Amino acid sequence: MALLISDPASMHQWGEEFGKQLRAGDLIVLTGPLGAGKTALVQGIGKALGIPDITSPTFVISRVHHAAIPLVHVDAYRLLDNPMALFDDLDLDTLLDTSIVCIEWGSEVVERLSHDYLELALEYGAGETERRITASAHGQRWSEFQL
Amino acid sequence: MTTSLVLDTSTSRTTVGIVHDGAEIALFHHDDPLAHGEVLPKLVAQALALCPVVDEVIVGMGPGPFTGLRVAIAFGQAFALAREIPCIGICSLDAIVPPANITDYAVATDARRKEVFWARYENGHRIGAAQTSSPITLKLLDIPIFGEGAIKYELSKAEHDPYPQVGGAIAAARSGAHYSAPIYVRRPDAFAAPKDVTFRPMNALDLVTIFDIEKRSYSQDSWSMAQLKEELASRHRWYLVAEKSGVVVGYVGGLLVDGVTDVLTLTVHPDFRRLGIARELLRRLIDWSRTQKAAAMMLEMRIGNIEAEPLYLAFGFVEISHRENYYGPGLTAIIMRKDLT
Repeated sequence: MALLISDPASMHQWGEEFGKQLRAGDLIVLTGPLGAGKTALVQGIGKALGIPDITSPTFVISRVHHAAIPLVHVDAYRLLDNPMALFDDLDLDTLLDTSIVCIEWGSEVVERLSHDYLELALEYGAGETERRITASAHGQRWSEFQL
Repeated sequence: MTTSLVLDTSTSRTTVGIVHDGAEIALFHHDDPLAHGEVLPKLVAQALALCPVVDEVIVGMGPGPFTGLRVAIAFGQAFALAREIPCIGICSLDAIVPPANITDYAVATDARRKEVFWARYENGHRIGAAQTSSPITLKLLDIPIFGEGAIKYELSKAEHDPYPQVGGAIAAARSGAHYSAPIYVRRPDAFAAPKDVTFRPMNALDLVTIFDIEKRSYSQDSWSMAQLKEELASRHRWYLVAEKSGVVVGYVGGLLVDGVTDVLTLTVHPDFRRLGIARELLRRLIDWSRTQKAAAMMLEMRIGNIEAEPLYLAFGFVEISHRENYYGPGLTAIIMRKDLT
Protein backbone atom coordinates (compact mmCIF):
# COMPACT_ATOMS: atom_id res chain seq x y z
CA MET A 1 0.00 0.00 0.00
CA ALA A 2 1.14 3.56 -0.66
CA LEU A 3 0.15 6.95 0.69
CA LEU A 4 0.92 10.52 -0.26
CA ILE A 5 2.51 13.05 2.08
CA SER A 6 2.29 16.70 1.07
CA ASP A 7 5.21 18.34 2.93
CA PRO A 8 7.84 17.81 5.69
CA ALA A 9 5.43 18.85 8.46
CA SER A 10 2.97 16.18 7.32
CA MET A 11 5.77 13.63 7.19
CA HIS A 12 6.61 14.50 10.79
CA GLN A 13 2.94 14.18 11.75
CA TRP A 14 2.52 10.88 9.96
CA GLY A 15 5.62 9.57 11.75
CA GLU A 16 4.05 10.56 15.07
CA GLU A 17 0.80 8.69 14.36
CA PHE A 18 2.80 5.71 13.17
CA GLY A 19 5.12 5.89 16.19
CA LYS A 20 2.20 5.66 18.62
CA GLN A 21 1.56 2.09 17.47
CA LEU A 22 5.15 0.91 17.87
CA ARG A 23 6.36 -1.21 20.75
CA ALA A 24 9.66 -2.60 22.00
CA GLY A 25 11.19 -5.07 19.57
CA ASP A 26 9.86 -3.34 16.44
CA LEU A 27 12.31 -2.96 13.60
CA ILE A 28 11.72 -0.34 10.90
CA VAL A 29 13.78 0.09 7.75
CA LEU A 30 13.61 3.37 5.86
CA THR A 31 14.70 3.56 2.26
CA GLY A 32 14.66 6.37 -0.26
CA PRO A 33 16.98 8.93 -1.82
CA LEU A 34 18.74 11.74 0.04
CA GLY A 35 16.22 14.36 1.11
CA ALA A 36 13.24 12.03 0.86
CA GLY A 37 12.28 12.67 4.49
CA LYS A 38 13.61 9.62 6.32
CA THR A 39 14.97 11.62 9.22
CA ALA A 40 11.79 13.75 9.41
CA LEU A 41 9.78 10.57 9.71
CA VAL A 42 11.99 9.26 12.53
CA GLN A 43 11.65 12.63 14.27
CA GLY A 44 7.90 12.11 14.19
CA ILE A 45 8.28 8.65 15.67
CA GLY A 46 10.50 10.21 18.33
CA LYS A 47 7.81 12.73 19.21
CA ALA A 48 5.34 9.89 19.79
CA LEU A 49 7.86 8.32 22.18
CA GLY A 50 8.57 11.57 24.00
CA ILE A 51 11.97 12.12 22.41
CA PRO A 52 12.22 15.73 21.20
CA ASP A 53 15.77 16.14 19.93
CA ILE A 54 16.40 13.67 17.12
CA THR A 55 19.08 14.71 14.64
CA SER A 56 20.57 12.72 11.80
CA PRO A 57 23.02 10.10 13.07
CA THR A 58 24.95 10.00 9.76
CA PHE A 59 28.26 10.88 11.38
CA VAL A 60 27.95 8.69 14.47
CA ILE A 61 26.02 5.98 12.53
CA SER A 62 23.91 4.93 15.52
CA ARG A 63 22.35 6.81 18.40
CA VAL A 64 20.30 5.48 21.31
CA HIS A 65 17.58 7.83 22.58
CA HIS A 66 16.54 6.92 26.10
CA ALA A 67 12.82 6.97 26.83
CA ALA A 68 10.14 4.67 28.28
CA ILE A 69 10.75 2.65 25.14
CA PRO A 70 14.24 3.52 23.88
CA LEU A 71 14.57 4.48 20.21
CA VAL A 72 17.68 3.34 18.37
CA HIS A 73 18.19 5.50 15.29
CA VAL A 74 20.73 4.19 12.80
CA ASP A 75 21.95 5.72 9.55
CA ALA A 76 23.75 3.02 7.60
CA TYR A 77 24.74 5.39 4.77
CA ARG A 78 28.39 5.40 5.83
CA LEU A 79 28.40 1.63 6.05
CA LEU A 80 27.31 0.93 2.50
CA ASP A 81 30.88 0.57 1.17
CA ASN A 82 32.10 -1.31 4.20
CA PRO A 83 32.24 -4.93 5.32
CA MET A 84 29.13 -6.18 7.11
CA ALA A 85 31.28 -6.67 10.20
CA LEU A 86 31.06 -2.94 10.86
CA PHE A 87 27.29 -3.24 11.03
CA ASP A 88 27.60 -6.22 13.36
CA ASP A 89 29.80 -4.09 15.62
CA LEU A 90 26.81 -1.88 16.43
CA ASP A 91 25.42 -4.78 18.48
CA LEU A 92 21.91 -3.84 17.44
CA ASP A 93 20.67 -7.34 18.18
CA THR A 94 21.40 -6.65 21.85
CA LEU A 95 19.17 -3.60 21.80
CA LEU A 96 16.40 -4.93 19.61
CA ASP A 97 14.46 -6.81 22.29
CA THR A 98 13.94 -3.76 24.47
CA SER A 99 13.93 -0.91 21.93
CA ILE A 100 12.38 0.35 18.73
CA VAL A 101 15.06 0.27 16.05
CA CYS A 102 14.84 2.51 12.94
CA ILE A 103 17.50 2.05 10.29
CA GLU A 104 17.92 4.50 7.44
CA TRP A 105 19.61 2.99 4.36
CA GLY A 106 19.17 -0.36 6.05
CA SER A 107 17.68 -2.57 3.34
CA GLU A 108 20.94 -4.45 2.75
CA VAL A 109 21.65 -5.12 6.40
CA VAL A 110 18.27 -5.61 8.06
CA GLU A 111 18.01 -9.34 7.37
CA ARG A 112 21.07 -9.83 9.56
CA LEU A 113 19.01 -8.65 12.51
CA SER A 114 15.57 -10.14 12.05
CA HIS A 115 13.13 -11.48 9.50
CA ASP A 116 10.37 -9.51 11.18
CA TYR A 117 10.50 -5.87 10.11
CA LEU A 118 8.55 -3.15 8.33
CA GLU A 119 10.08 -1.46 5.33
CA LEU A 120 8.98 2.10 4.55
CA ALA A 121 10.09 3.21 1.09
CA LEU A 122 10.02 6.99 0.64
CA GLU A 123 9.92 8.43 -2.86
CA TYR A 124 9.65 11.87 -4.38
CA GLY A 125 6.11 12.72 -5.50
CA ALA A 126 4.80 15.04 -8.19
CA GLY A 127 5.19 18.32 -6.32
CA GLU A 128 8.47 19.57 -4.86
CA THR A 129 7.57 18.71 -1.26
CA GLU A 130 5.33 15.75 -2.00
CA ARG A 131 6.48 12.29 -0.96
CA ARG A 132 5.06 8.81 -1.38
CA ILE A 133 5.42 6.18 1.33
CA THR A 134 5.15 2.53 0.42
CA ALA A 135 5.09 0.05 3.26
CA SER A 136 6.01 -3.59 2.94
CA ALA A 137 5.66 -5.92 5.88
CA HIS A 138 8.04 -8.79 6.57
CA GLY A 139 7.05 -11.27 9.27
CA GLN A 140 3.98 -11.71 11.48
CA ARG A 141 4.11 -8.56 13.56
CA TRP A 142 2.53 -6.13 11.11
CA SER A 143 -0.77 -7.80 10.20
CA GLU A 144 -2.97 -5.65 12.49
CA PHE A 145 -0.98 -2.47 11.93
CA GLN A 146 -2.82 0.71 10.89
CA LEU A 147 -0.94 2.73 8.29
CA MET B 1 51.62 -15.96 46.20
CA THR B 2 49.85 -13.99 43.50
CA THR B 3 46.66 -12.01 43.94
CA SER B 4 44.69 -11.79 40.69
CA LEU B 5 41.79 -9.59 39.67
CA VAL B 6 39.68 -11.51 37.13
CA LEU B 7 37.29 -9.71 34.76
CA ASP B 8 35.04 -11.03 32.01
CA THR B 9 32.23 -9.43 29.99
CA SER B 10 32.16 -11.82 27.05
CA THR B 11 28.72 -13.24 27.85
CA SER B 12 25.50 -11.75 29.23
CA ARG B 13 27.12 -12.02 32.66
CA THR B 14 29.59 -9.53 34.09
CA THR B 15 32.08 -11.52 36.19
CA VAL B 16 34.50 -10.02 38.71
CA GLY B 17 36.65 -11.94 41.17
CA ILE B 18 39.80 -11.72 43.24
CA VAL B 19 41.80 -14.88 43.83
CA HIS B 20 44.73 -15.09 46.21
CA ASP B 21 46.93 -18.14 45.86
CA GLY B 22 44.09 -20.35 44.65
CA ALA B 23 41.51 -19.08 47.15
CA GLU B 24 38.57 -17.02 45.91
CA ILE B 25 38.51 -13.92 48.13
CA ALA B 26 35.86 -11.95 46.28
CA LEU B 27 33.33 -13.10 43.71
CA PHE B 28 30.70 -10.90 42.14
CA HIS B 29 28.56 -11.17 39.08
CA HIS B 30 25.58 -9.50 37.43
CA ASP B 31 23.41 -10.88 34.64
CA ASP B 32 22.33 -8.33 32.05
CA PRO B 33 23.61 -8.31 28.48
CA LEU B 34 23.24 -4.53 28.26
CA ALA B 35 24.73 -3.43 31.59
CA HIS B 36 28.41 -4.42 31.44
CA GLY B 37 29.54 -0.81 31.31
CA GLU B 38 27.50 0.37 34.28
CA VAL B 39 28.02 -2.71 36.41
CA LEU B 40 31.69 -3.60 36.02
CA PRO B 41 33.24 -0.63 37.90
CA LYS B 42 30.81 -1.14 40.78
CA LEU B 43 31.62 -4.85 41.08
CA VAL B 44 35.34 -4.13 40.93
CA ALA B 45 34.95 -1.52 43.68
CA GLN B 46 33.13 -4.08 45.84
CA ALA B 47 35.85 -6.66 45.22
CA LEU B 48 38.68 -4.21 45.96
CA ALA B 49 36.95 -3.25 49.21
CA LEU B 50 37.56 -6.84 50.32
CA CYS B 51 41.10 -7.01 48.95
CA PRO B 52 42.65 -3.69 47.90
CA VAL B 53 46.03 -4.94 46.62
CA VAL B 54 46.25 -7.11 43.49
CA ASP B 55 49.34 -8.19 41.54
CA GLU B 56 47.84 -8.82 38.13
CA VAL B 57 44.69 -8.50 36.05
CA ILE B 58 43.32 -11.47 34.10
CA VAL B 59 40.73 -10.49 31.54
CA GLY B 60 38.59 -12.52 29.13
CA MET B 61 39.37 -11.42 25.56
CA GLY B 62 36.34 -13.11 24.05
CA PRO B 63 35.04 -14.11 21.65
CA GLY B 64 31.95 -12.13 22.55
CA PRO B 65 29.57 -9.40 21.39
CA PHE B 66 31.54 -6.39 20.22
CA THR B 67 30.70 -3.68 22.73
CA GLY B 68 30.14 -5.65 25.91
CA LEU B 69 33.32 -7.65 25.41
CA ARG B 70 35.43 -4.51 25.25
CA VAL B 71 34.14 -3.14 28.53
CA ALA B 72 36.21 -5.55 30.63
CA ILE B 73 39.19 -5.42 28.27
CA ALA B 74 39.42 -1.63 28.30
CA PHE B 75 38.79 -1.49 32.03
CA GLY B 76 41.30 -4.22 32.81
CA GLN B 77 44.04 -2.73 30.64
CA ALA B 78 43.54 0.75 32.08
CA PHE B 79 43.45 -0.57 35.64
CA ALA B 80 46.64 -2.57 35.10
CA LEU B 81 48.33 0.46 33.58
CA ALA B 82 47.39 2.67 36.51
CA ARG B 83 48.50 0.09 39.09
CA GLU B 84 51.64 -0.78 37.09
CA ILE B 85 50.78 -4.48 37.13
CA PRO B 86 50.53 -6.93 34.22
CA CYS B 87 47.28 -7.57 32.34
CA ILE B 88 46.90 -11.08 30.98
CA GLY B 89 44.33 -11.72 28.25
CA ILE B 90 42.79 -15.18 27.99
CA CYS B 91 40.25 -16.84 25.72
CA SER B 92 36.94 -16.52 27.58
CA LEU B 93 35.81 -19.95 26.37
CA ASP B 94 38.75 -21.46 28.27
CA ALA B 95 37.30 -20.06 31.50
CA ILE B 96 34.04 -21.97 31.16
CA VAL B 97 34.45 -25.05 33.30
CA PRO B 98 32.80 -28.39 32.46
CA PRO B 99 31.38 -30.63 35.20
CA ALA B 100 33.95 -32.74 37.04
CA ASN B 101 35.58 -35.66 35.21
CA ILE B 102 34.64 -34.46 31.73
CA THR B 103 37.77 -33.73 29.70
CA ASP B 104 36.56 -34.07 26.09
CA TYR B 105 33.89 -31.49 25.34
CA ALA B 106 33.01 -28.28 23.51
CA VAL B 107 32.14 -24.85 24.88
CA ALA B 108 29.62 -22.62 23.08
CA THR B 109 28.62 -19.07 23.96
CA ASP B 110 25.85 -17.03 22.36
CA ALA B 111 27.08 -15.14 19.31
CA ARG B 112 23.52 -13.91 18.55
CA ARG B 113 22.03 -13.95 15.06
CA LYS B 114 21.40 -17.68 15.58
CA GLU B 115 25.09 -18.48 15.88
CA VAL B 116 27.47 -19.58 18.61
CA PHE B 117 31.10 -18.87 19.40
CA TRP B 118 32.69 -22.18 20.25
CA ALA B 119 35.82 -24.23 20.73
CA ARG B 120 36.59 -27.87 21.29
CA TYR B 121 38.58 -29.36 24.14
CA GLU B 122 40.43 -32.67 24.47
CA ASN B 123 42.01 -33.80 27.72
CA GLY B 124 40.95 -30.42 29.09
CA HIS B 125 42.95 -28.48 26.49
CA ARG B 126 41.53 -26.42 23.67
CA ILE B 127 42.00 -27.88 20.19
CA GLY B 128 42.34 -25.06 17.65
CA ALA B 129 41.06 -21.51 17.73
CA ALA B 130 37.61 -20.26 18.68
CA GLN B 131 35.18 -20.06 15.77
CA THR B 132 31.66 -19.02 14.82
CA SER B 133 29.09 -21.56 13.60
CA SER B 134 25.44 -22.33 13.43
CA PRO B 135 24.32 -24.37 16.47
CA ILE B 136 23.27 -27.12 14.05
CA THR B 137 26.94 -27.74 13.27
CA LEU B 138 27.61 -28.42 16.94
CA LYS B 139 24.74 -30.88 17.19
CA LEU B 140 26.75 -33.09 14.87
CA LEU B 141 29.59 -33.28 17.38
CA ASP B 142 29.28 -36.39 19.47
CA ILE B 143 30.60 -34.76 22.64
CA PRO B 144 29.01 -32.86 25.54
CA ILE B 145 28.66 -29.12 25.01
CA PHE B 146 28.63 -26.49 27.73
CA GLY B 147 28.11 -22.75 28.00
CA GLU B 148 25.41 -20.12 27.50
CA GLY B 149 25.10 -20.99 23.79
CA ALA B 150 24.66 -24.67 24.57
CA ILE B 151 21.76 -23.87 26.88
CA LYS B 152 20.11 -21.37 24.55
CA TYR B 153 20.14 -23.79 21.62
CA GLU B 154 19.46 -26.87 23.75
CA LEU B 155 22.75 -28.49 22.89
CA SER B 156 23.29 -29.54 26.49
CA LYS B 157 21.19 -31.46 28.97
CA ALA B 158 23.81 -31.51 31.71
CA GLU B 159 23.57 -29.23 34.71
CA HIS B 160 26.48 -26.85 34.69
CA ASP B 161 27.58 -23.24 35.20
CA PRO B 162 27.43 -21.83 31.66
CA TYR B 163 29.45 -18.66 32.35
CA PRO B 164 33.18 -17.99 32.50
CA GLN B 165 34.42 -18.78 35.99
CA VAL B 166 37.09 -17.06 38.00
CA GLY B 167 38.87 -20.32 38.73
CA GLY B 168 38.71 -21.29 35.07
CA ALA B 169 40.19 -17.94 34.10
CA ILE B 170 43.10 -18.41 36.51
CA ALA B 171 43.78 -21.88 35.09
CA ALA B 172 43.64 -20.51 31.54
CA ALA B 173 46.06 -17.71 32.42
CA ARG B 174 48.54 -20.23 33.88
CA SER B 175 48.38 -22.90 31.21
CA GLY B 176 46.52 -21.58 28.16
CA ALA B 177 47.37 -19.13 25.40
CA HIS B 178 47.55 -15.40 26.16
CA TYR B 179 45.94 -12.78 23.93
CA SER B 180 46.77 -9.10 23.60
CA ALA B 181 43.82 -8.16 21.37
CA PRO B 182 40.11 -9.03 21.54
CA ILE B 183 39.36 -12.40 19.95
CA TYR B 184 37.11 -11.51 17.07
CA VAL B 185 36.21 -14.55 15.02
CA ARG B 186 33.48 -13.06 12.90
CA ARG B 187 35.25 -10.41 10.84
CA PRO B 188 35.89 -11.53 7.28
CA ASP B 189 39.47 -10.75 6.38
CA ALA B 190 38.89 -7.83 4.05
CA PHE B 191 41.95 -5.69 3.51
CA ALA B 192 44.80 -5.40 5.95
CA ALA B 193 45.33 -1.72 6.78
CA PRO B 194 48.75 -0.42 5.69
CA LYS B 195 51.31 -0.85 8.45
CA ASP B 196 52.59 2.09 10.49
CA VAL B 197 50.54 4.53 8.42
CA THR B 198 48.41 7.19 10.07
CA PHE B 199 46.02 9.72 8.57
CA ARG B 200 45.22 13.31 9.46
CA PRO B 201 43.92 16.48 7.77
CA MET B 202 46.47 18.38 5.69
CA ASN B 203 47.87 21.65 7.01
CA ALA B 204 50.11 24.37 5.61
CA LEU B 205 53.25 22.83 7.11
CA ASP B 206 52.77 19.79 4.85
CA LEU B 207 52.93 21.77 1.62
CA VAL B 208 56.72 21.58 1.12
CA THR B 209 56.64 17.78 1.31
CA ILE B 210 53.53 17.60 -0.84
CA PHE B 211 55.11 19.84 -3.47
CA ASP B 212 58.02 17.41 -3.58
CA ILE B 213 55.70 14.39 -4.01
CA GLU B 214 53.78 16.29 -6.70
CA LYS B 215 56.96 16.88 -8.70
CA ARG B 216 58.09 13.30 -8.33
CA SER B 217 54.69 12.00 -9.42
CA TYR B 218 53.58 14.40 -12.15
CA SER B 219 56.79 16.30 -13.15
CA GLN B 220 55.78 19.27 -15.31
CA ASP B 221 52.05 18.65 -14.77
CA SER B 222 52.34 18.99 -10.99
CA TRP B 223 50.52 21.67 -9.03
CA SER B 224 52.60 24.74 -8.22
CA MET B 225 53.18 25.85 -4.65
CA ALA B 226 50.75 28.72 -5.23
CA GLN B 227 48.06 26.31 -6.47
CA LEU B 228 48.60 24.04 -3.49
CA LYS B 229 48.25 26.96 -1.05
CA GLU B 230 45.09 28.12 -2.79
CA GLU B 231 43.63 24.62 -2.74
CA LEU B 232 44.25 24.23 0.96
CA ALA B 233 42.65 27.58 1.74
CA SER B 234 39.56 27.07 -0.43
CA ARG B 235 36.16 26.11 0.85
CA HIS B 236 34.21 22.87 0.35
CA ARG B 237 37.47 20.94 0.09
CA TRP B 238 38.85 18.20 2.25
CA TYR B 239 42.50 17.21 2.15
CA LEU B 240 43.88 14.27 4.05
CA VAL B 241 47.51 13.17 4.34
CA ALA B 242 48.98 9.74 5.04
CA GLU B 243 52.07 9.63 7.23
CA LYS B 244 54.46 6.73 7.49
CA SER B 245 56.82 6.95 10.46
CA GLY B 246 55.92 10.62 10.84
CA VAL B 247 56.66 11.58 7.21
CA VAL B 248 53.93 12.54 4.75
CA VAL B 249 53.94 9.99 1.93
CA GLY B 250 50.56 10.53 0.28
CA TYR B 251 47.41 12.63 0.16
CA VAL B 252 43.91 12.80 -1.19
CA GLY B 253 41.71 15.81 -1.84
CA GLY B 254 38.01 16.19 -2.55
CA LEU B 255 35.74 19.07 -3.51
CA LEU B 256 32.09 18.79 -2.59
CA VAL B 257 29.65 20.77 -4.73
CA ASP B 258 25.94 20.10 -5.14
CA GLY B 259 26.12 16.74 -3.45
CA VAL B 260 28.93 15.39 -5.60
CA THR B 261 32.50 14.93 -4.42
CA ASP B 262 35.09 15.57 -7.10
CA VAL B 263 38.28 13.66 -6.37
CA LEU B 264 40.84 16.43 -6.95
CA THR B 265 43.95 14.38 -6.32
CA LEU B 266 45.04 11.00 -5.02
CA THR B 267 48.81 10.78 -4.87
CA VAL B 268 51.32 8.53 -3.13
CA HIS B 269 55.09 9.08 -3.13
CA PRO B 270 56.64 6.73 -5.75
CA ASP B 271 58.71 4.97 -3.08
CA PHE B 272 55.62 4.12 -1.03
CA ARG B 273 53.21 2.77 -3.63
CA ARG B 274 51.63 -0.69 -3.59
CA LEU B 275 51.35 -0.61 0.20
CA GLY B 276 47.60 0.02 0.26
CA ILE B 277 48.00 3.69 1.16
CA ALA B 278 46.04 5.04 -1.82
CA ARG B 279 43.24 2.56 -1.16
CA GLU B 280 42.98 3.73 2.44
CA LEU B 281 43.06 7.41 1.41
CA LEU B 282 40.30 6.86 -1.13
CA ARG B 283 38.26 4.83 1.33
CA ARG B 284 38.44 7.71 3.78
CA LEU B 285 37.43 10.25 1.13
CA ILE B 286 34.40 8.08 0.30
CA ASP B 287 33.54 7.92 3.99
CA TRP B 288 33.91 11.70 4.36
CA SER B 289 31.61 12.15 1.34
CA ARG B 290 29.02 9.95 3.01
CA THR B 291 29.19 11.95 6.23
CA GLN B 292 28.51 15.04 4.10
CA LYS B 293 25.55 13.21 2.51
CA ALA B 294 27.07 13.37 -0.95
CA ALA B 295 25.09 11.35 -3.49
CA ALA B 296 27.98 10.59 -5.85
CA MET B 297 31.69 10.97 -6.53
CA MET B 298 33.43 11.91 -9.76
CA LEU B 299 37.02 11.86 -10.94
CA GLU B 300 39.10 12.34 -14.02
CA MET B 301 41.84 9.87 -14.83
CA ARG B 302 44.31 9.87 -17.66
CA ILE B 303 43.51 7.05 -20.06
CA GLY B 304 45.92 4.19 -19.60
CA ASN B 305 46.70 4.92 -15.94
CA ILE B 306 47.09 1.26 -15.12
CA GLU B 307 48.19 1.97 -11.56
CA ALA B 308 45.05 3.86 -10.54
CA GLU B 309 42.32 2.27 -12.62
CA PRO B 310 41.99 -1.06 -10.74
CA LEU B 311 41.66 0.85 -7.48
CA TYR B 312 38.82 2.99 -8.79
CA LEU B 313 37.07 0.00 -10.32
CA ALA B 314 37.39 -1.90 -7.05
CA PHE B 315 35.60 0.91 -5.24
CA GLY B 316 32.77 0.86 -7.78
CA PHE B 317 33.71 3.82 -9.97
CA VAL B 318 32.45 3.37 -13.54
CA GLU B 319 33.52 5.14 -16.70
CA ILE B 320 30.86 7.58 -17.89
CA SER B 321 32.61 9.64 -20.57
CA HIS B 322 35.87 10.73 -22.22
CA ARG B 323 37.44 14.14 -22.61
CA GLU B 324 39.85 14.35 -25.53
CA ASN B 325 43.10 16.28 -24.98
CA TYR B 326 42.15 16.98 -21.35
CA TYR B 327 45.68 16.49 -20.10
CA GLY B 328 47.32 18.00 -23.22
CA PRO B 329 47.46 17.10 -26.91
CA GLY B 330 46.56 13.46 -27.42
CA LEU B 331 46.03 12.82 -23.72
CA THR B 332 42.48 11.71 -23.07
CA ALA B 333 40.80 11.81 -19.68
CA ILE B 334 38.34 9.17 -18.56
CA ILE B 335 35.55 10.55 -16.39
CA MET B 336 34.51 8.07 -13.73
CA ARG B 337 31.57 8.19 -11.35
CA LYS B 338 30.52 6.31 -8.27
CA ASP B 339 26.99 6.53 -6.92
CA LEU B 340 26.87 6.55 -3.16
CA THR B 341 23.13 5.97 -2.81
